[in-house]
Amino acid sequence: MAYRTDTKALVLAILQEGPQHGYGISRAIRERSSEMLKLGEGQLYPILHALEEQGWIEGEWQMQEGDPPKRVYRITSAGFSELTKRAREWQAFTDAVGRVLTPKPGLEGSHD
Amino acid sequence: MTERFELYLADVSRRLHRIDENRRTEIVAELRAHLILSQRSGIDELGMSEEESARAALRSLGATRNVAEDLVRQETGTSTRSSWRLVRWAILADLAFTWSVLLISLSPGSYLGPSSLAVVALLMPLAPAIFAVAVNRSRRWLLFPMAASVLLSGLLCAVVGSSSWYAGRVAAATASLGPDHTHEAWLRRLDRELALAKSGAEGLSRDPNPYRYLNGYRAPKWVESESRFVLAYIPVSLPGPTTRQLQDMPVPTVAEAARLWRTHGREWVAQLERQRADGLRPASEWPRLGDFLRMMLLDASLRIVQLAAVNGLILAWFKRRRHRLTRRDPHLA
Repeated sequence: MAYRTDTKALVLAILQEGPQHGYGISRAIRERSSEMLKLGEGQLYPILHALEEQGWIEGEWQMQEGDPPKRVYRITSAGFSELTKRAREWQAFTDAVGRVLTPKPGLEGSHD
Repeated sequence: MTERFELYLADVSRRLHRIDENRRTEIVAELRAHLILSQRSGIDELGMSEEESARAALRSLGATRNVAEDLVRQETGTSTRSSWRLVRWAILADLAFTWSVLLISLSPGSYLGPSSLAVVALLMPLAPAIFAVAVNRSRRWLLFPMAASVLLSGLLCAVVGSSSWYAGRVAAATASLGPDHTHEAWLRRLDRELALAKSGAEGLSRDPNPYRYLNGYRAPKWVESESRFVLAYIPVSLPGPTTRQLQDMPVPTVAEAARLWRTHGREWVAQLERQRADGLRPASEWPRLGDFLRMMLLDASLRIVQLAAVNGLILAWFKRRRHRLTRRDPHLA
């Protein structure tokens, strides 16, 4: 797929369903997209930190018994507004592409 | 397998030396949790061995150098900072170069030696070099603010350069070099040439001495004149379209010069008279502005193409380097 992915929106979309740690986010994106979108896991953390800096998500360390602590992120209200905005833009874009790609009624098979 | 992860994390941490220690510890802890969760998932869900799963976890995260570089860029702000801010020094260098050409023409000293050319030549590659450093640091497309600035400053230069005020200043600067550089001196020289041209072949046969020029005798001759244009930012000129022009050229013999005067003398006189009339007419700003704008647009387009090439090449190089580093990272073997 040559289309540019809005990684920030994908991360926000996963977090709107509930708090998640970095590994969980990358896994959710992979699974939900049926392996079509494989976010480079090394590139995920700079994105998470950028989202946190922008105030769109908040991170919190969670202690685990017998395991190293993990940082769990949750979406903020500003992040939710941003996600809504980006989702709307993406929808408008895919609608426009869809309208171009779908042949007008009556034109299907007109090349035959 | 914790040892393998720790070696990997130690390498990442070493490469994060530009980030303060507390933040570095936090980042490494986050990566550690990621690796452990990823390894556990490989074992529990995919039935991998501990070793296989550890390798898969490390490979998913990527080469230590790539991971560290991405994190440093984020932490130091180069990946999120506005592109205008990232290229501000390149914009300043470009403005200095563009305006130096106009400003130097106002200084009488600049007509006397190569020093002003040296200043322009030094400033020329500065903007693309600083721009390349900014792209190298941010690994982003930074062309838009540069292109906007190049176009705007070119536009301003065209307006200033074509103004009567600027033309007057340039005339004053050249006039201050001495009596030979005034408009009147230019007119006197043109009148002398015109007198010779009007005498033409007849004058030449009467007395060839005033027609002596370099190693021959002056005569009007049609020559192919090749225009050249300088590649903005690179002190290299490329050949442009050629045009046929009637020019004052030295020819070796009086007979040949006389033949040329007979053939093209009338056209040459007409050309000099047109030149004289243009020189006497008060200059109108509008046609001059048109010329400046055409020049500015060509120059700005050349610059933007070069900046786009710099930006594209650096990004392509980093993309290749990223794959190479992933293949060669010993932690991922």
